[in-house]
Amino acid sequence: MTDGQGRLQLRRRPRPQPNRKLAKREARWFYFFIAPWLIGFIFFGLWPIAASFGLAFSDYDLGGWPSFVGLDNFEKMVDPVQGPVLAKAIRNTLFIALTVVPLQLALGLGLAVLLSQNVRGMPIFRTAFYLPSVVAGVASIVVWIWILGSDGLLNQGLELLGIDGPVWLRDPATVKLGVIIVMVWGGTGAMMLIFLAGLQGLPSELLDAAAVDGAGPLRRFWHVKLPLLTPQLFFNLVIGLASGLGVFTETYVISTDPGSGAPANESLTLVMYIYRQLLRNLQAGYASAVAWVFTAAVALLTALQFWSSRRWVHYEYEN
Amino acid sequence: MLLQTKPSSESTDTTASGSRRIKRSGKPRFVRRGFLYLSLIGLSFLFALPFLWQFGASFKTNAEIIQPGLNLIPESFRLDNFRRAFEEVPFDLWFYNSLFIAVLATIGATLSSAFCAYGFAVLRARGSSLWFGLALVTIFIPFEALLIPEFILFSKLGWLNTPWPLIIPWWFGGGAFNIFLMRQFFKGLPHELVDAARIDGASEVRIFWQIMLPLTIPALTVVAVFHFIYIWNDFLRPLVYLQDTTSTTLPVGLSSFVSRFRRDWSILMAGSVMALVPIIVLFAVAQRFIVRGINLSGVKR
Repeated sequence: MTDGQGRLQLRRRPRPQPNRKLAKREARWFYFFIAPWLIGFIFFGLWPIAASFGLAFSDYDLGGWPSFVGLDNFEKMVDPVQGPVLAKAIRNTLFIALTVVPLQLALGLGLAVLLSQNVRGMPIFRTAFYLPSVVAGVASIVVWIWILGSDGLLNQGLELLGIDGPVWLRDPATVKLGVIIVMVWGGTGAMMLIFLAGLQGLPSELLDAAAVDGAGPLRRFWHVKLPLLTPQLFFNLVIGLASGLGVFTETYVISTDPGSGAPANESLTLVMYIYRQLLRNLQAGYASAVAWVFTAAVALLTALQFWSSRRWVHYEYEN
Repeated sequence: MLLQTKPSSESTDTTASGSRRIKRSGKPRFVRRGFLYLSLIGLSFLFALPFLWQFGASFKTNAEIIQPGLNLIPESFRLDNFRRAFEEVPFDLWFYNSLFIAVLATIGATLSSAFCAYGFAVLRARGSSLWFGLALVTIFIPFEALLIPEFILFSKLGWLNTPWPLIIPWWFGGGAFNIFLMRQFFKGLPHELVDAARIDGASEVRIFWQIMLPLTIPALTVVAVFHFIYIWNDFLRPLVYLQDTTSTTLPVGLSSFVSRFRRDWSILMAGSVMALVPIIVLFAVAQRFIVRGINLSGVKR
């Protein structure tokens, strides 16, 4: 080994002496090319972060100048007036995100498995499942408001089963369920597409080997396919959770009074709370403080996922 | 590409897949396939149902819409609702604003991310990986966190109720995720091309523009398609930056429409269908790029 290594080093061509002038020239071009990003990073990244940090400790109504108020904004988050409302917004957001993401993951994976079985007309099915993800937004939420309405499609369907459905989006008990249905419909397809790409890139030798060893379809899925799909699972989880915690459009549009969190603040989410504090109450300082809490929570959850990924995400079989 | 070719190669009857078939044969093959297709058809119908219903309803009268039953096909294809949508609200203006913003933001993000990615992928400098690491970290900063100071910045610049807050930032780097995607692609191109061009005396800008950029057109298309869809559906940013009814985009306009015409389903359906059409057309044209983009995004690493 040592011998070989020594010879290898001898055989290697001497590295071209780095020409300092050329290297310097290339470095200048490097900064020339990344300049747009760098400028954007300073003005639309670094500066806003610093400013919002300062605002979090200030009182600012969007006119004049912000005034420093210390920890007032953070105290306000737990005071008897704002505390319960903010707590509700956090609870709602967590409930929605932590329900939606597992459902999207399970359904996305299930659909991908179905589609990966050499199905005739696969592109048509794939399009049907993926299209909702492409158009997810106000235009498709409009139709869901009708579907989930008092005489909407869902309740008509439930009536066939003898169930008297609620007015989903007007009833405090069911409004979050309604939002969850819309989000699962709109987010599953994107995850499915990523799982499908993963499933079709699986090394067939492994699956065949498992089959020869007598593993049935279920065991093959659980012990061979699923571990190999953990990179896709991880990607979908990180992206899904970050966007789930940022839920805003759905909860904003479905309300009779957009952005109010009606009924009874049950559809009030964290980003909507921030939006309300900024534009309805003109409390830019307090809104920034809450935005910081939101960002910290998302960052913490993302970091936690990356940290835990070492234990359960397998990157061995690169294709 | 991969998605298309793999299934067919699987269907070739090798000994391996033959043995797999033996193992599976609990129930006859046609029963299993039957179940598979039945569940696929049922599920895809459920996923497509909101659209199908929406398209049908956009031609219906209000009385026809609230009729019970699954009437996907309208009694007649009357265009009344669409005409009414244009009369009642500045629909054409919203549409124009959306298109203007989406097109310019997409051009900016695509070109700018390619430009910066070229720097990150091809050019060497001390500390370049540090800069790139910094760019990667910004992917995970939720944009909601920056919304408030950016709102203040844009209001001081006098950009509120103009399209610029939704366009200009994309011309500066085009988003870290797009840079990451384009960098991966540039890394895959042979560096010899750059070396040869340098020896021939081409400037760096020319190497980028005339030699490397044309080779990345597949990746550029992916970035452009995804970005256009993203901007077209964007809601929170235009809601905050464009509060004026005449300067706002389709999604925000539609949302005000929803609260104003609460019971008037026919006009709501027509309006929302018109907002869906461009994105569905784009999707139909670009579907293969989207599927390819999933493989390109490097999730498989």
